[in-house]
Amino acid sequence: MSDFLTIGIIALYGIMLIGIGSWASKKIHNTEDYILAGRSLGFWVFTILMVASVCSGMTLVGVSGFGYASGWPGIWEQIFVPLAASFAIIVFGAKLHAVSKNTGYMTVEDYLAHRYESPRTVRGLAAVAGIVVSLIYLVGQYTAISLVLVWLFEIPHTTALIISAVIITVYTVIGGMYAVSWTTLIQGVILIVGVLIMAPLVIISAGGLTHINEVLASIDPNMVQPFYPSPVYAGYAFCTPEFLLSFGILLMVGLACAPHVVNNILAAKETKFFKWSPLVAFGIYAVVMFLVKFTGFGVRALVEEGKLLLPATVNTQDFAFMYGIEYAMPSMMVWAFFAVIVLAAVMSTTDRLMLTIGTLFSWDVYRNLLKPDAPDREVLKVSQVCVVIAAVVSLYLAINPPEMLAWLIWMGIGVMLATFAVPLLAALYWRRANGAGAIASMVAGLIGSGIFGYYHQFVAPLPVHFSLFALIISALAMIVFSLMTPKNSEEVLNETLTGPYIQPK
Amino acid sequence: MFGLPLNTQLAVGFVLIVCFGLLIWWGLHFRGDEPDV
Repeated sequence: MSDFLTIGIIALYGIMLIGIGSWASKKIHNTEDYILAGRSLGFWVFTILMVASVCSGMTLVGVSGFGYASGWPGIWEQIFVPLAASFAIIVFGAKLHAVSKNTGYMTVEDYLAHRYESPRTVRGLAAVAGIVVSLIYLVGQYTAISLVLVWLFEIPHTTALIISAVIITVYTVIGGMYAVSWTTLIQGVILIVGVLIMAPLVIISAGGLTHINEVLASIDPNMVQPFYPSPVYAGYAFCTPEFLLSFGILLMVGLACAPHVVNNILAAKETKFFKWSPLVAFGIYAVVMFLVKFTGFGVRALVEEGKLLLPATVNTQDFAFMYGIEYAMPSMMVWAFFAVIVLAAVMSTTDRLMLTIGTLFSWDVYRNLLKPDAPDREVLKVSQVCVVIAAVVSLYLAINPPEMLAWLIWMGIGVMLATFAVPLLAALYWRRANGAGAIASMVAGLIGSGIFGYYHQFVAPLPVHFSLFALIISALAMIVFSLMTPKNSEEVLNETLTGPYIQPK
Repeated sequence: MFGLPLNTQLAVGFVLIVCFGLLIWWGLHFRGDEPDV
């Protein structure tokens, strides 16, 4: 795929990102500027940041691949994932942002420490769990970036990883949240415009949606049904009603409470943005994701009709989007544009994850647990060093993947759901929830997801996603331990607007 | 429509309408003020 024009455009794109980082670095005067962009994000920057943080590195590749393999029963993913951004804004964000205006939280861990009156244990546990989960997720993102670069330029895997890591690390380290949010806005616009132009071309070249669906139905009539029947009768037919229920909770709630998503809330300038940003985020993301999914359907139709041949590898489906675009648009000019679109999709989550790891360590672990008297400049430096360390560690893991890596990445969102969803939801909406309950639910969620994830992968497949069992255990732990121990002070509960409402009357 | 069975059209259409409807309802009802606690 390598040609002078593509390399030139990619190089220009990299230089532009570093340029934004350089511009952003001039706006950083303290840790709040670095971590939260001085709480100054406007409506569109904030909304696109929420969408792009949820939209992971494997979105283009994974979504179309899933469509290629499973057909329409997998379409619910295109509703659940966009809903994650809306869920994060409405259920977590609206109240958290309003409270943070008075309390000045820098991270969601600040909120949990205050709400549960546990400045060390709850904060430490949430921060360390957040760092570990983000790091695992980050390794997955780097693997996705290298897949794209290797395929585009036919360069070695390691070189591809190092080039991308250097570019992302430079602009994230120097520009912090300002750089991450503004580069994300540009990356998001490139991704949206690119998909809006390219996906319809692939769908048309495959004969249009009606023809594509007829071909899918000829492969397996259930491929055009809303779900597959139980029990599972083939590897691709796992989207049964019960699995879809657990999958929906996993994607919508699990992604919403992920540290790199929910922490964006605190960077928004005004709470009133939360009125319409859920609708705008859902609308934009759903349109893009439906189109990417239809591209996967289209490529499946092209393959079935013998018009297109995908590589005969274990992960054949992952090549659906790339080969579909290649089939529909052989022009080199389009290729260069497409390369930037794919990179935009994979980079926009990677930089946010790196900044999240830097923030959780520097602010929650270093500043609040290890060295409370550390001056602001020192915390800022620690944060920047952590971003570099996060890049180096995840780069090392992506280059030398441990045997369990694929399993760990697959576990990532499930662990986020089981660990963070209950403590966060209970903190916001249940006045009886307390620190003991939060610690118990986080520990139970972590251990539960390890046990059920291992069982599903290595012992016997479960009928629903493993994280649902871990989530239930986490909720039970929260209820039992909270009711067995005294509730938090009324003063804190009132300060944090705790209760079964989103906004006070 | 689009070569899809009616139940698939209804299921996807219904869920999309519910999602958009709820999000529009939220937009109309959330005040977005910042309470002075």
